[in-house]
Amino acid sequence: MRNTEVVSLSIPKDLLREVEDQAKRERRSKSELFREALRQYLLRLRVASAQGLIAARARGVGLADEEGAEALVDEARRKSARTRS
Amino acid sequence: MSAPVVVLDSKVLLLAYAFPGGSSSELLDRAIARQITAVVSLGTLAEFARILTGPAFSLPARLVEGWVRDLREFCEAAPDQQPVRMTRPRLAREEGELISCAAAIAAEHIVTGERSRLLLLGRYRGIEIAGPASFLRGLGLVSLSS
Repeated sequence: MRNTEVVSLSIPKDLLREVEDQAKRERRSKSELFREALRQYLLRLRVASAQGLIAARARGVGLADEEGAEALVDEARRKSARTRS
Repeated sequence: MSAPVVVLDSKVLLLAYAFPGGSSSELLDRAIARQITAVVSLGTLAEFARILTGPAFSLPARLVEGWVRDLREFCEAAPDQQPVRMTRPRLAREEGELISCAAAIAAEHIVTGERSRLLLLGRYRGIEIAGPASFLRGLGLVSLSS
């Protein structure tokens, strides 16, 4: 069974021309480019959503800067080394 | 030109998610755009998940599992390797594993946190070790946050 579906969409002509040029440069089909763009778009949204939650939690626990975050990882590693030994 | 193969550690992953807009976060963006081939070891993914579900962040495991699945969509997962052992600098087991993972897949770069002891090495068997901002600069990819 096909796990793809054909959809029709309308896009501005100049954008379509740009997509066609890019597809030629990359030797890929326009469909591939659209799929790739949509995948990246949705992935970016999911990553941004995760970042929002993790950043809020970091602020909530007083993790103010990158130094503190790295120290947290180092501490977790020390704990894990103590558990192993 | 093919995208450079870059092994990321859990410090970079945590920085990327906890500080959006920073250099580490930009690395994720470059990986999604396939400008770099980002690689993370299974051990790194597990460590990242442990930290987020651990006492500091206390995030639900189900949520974190979803984020790790997303990460695997734009980062290649590499099997764990026996850690390289070193005394100068003295490496944590996870740092040794990171280096051996990078060597096993013939990576060109390791990117770790800006305060990591690994940066003291600078290079290991031809693999360049850098912090996120200097890695981006070295590749001619401008880091907007630096």
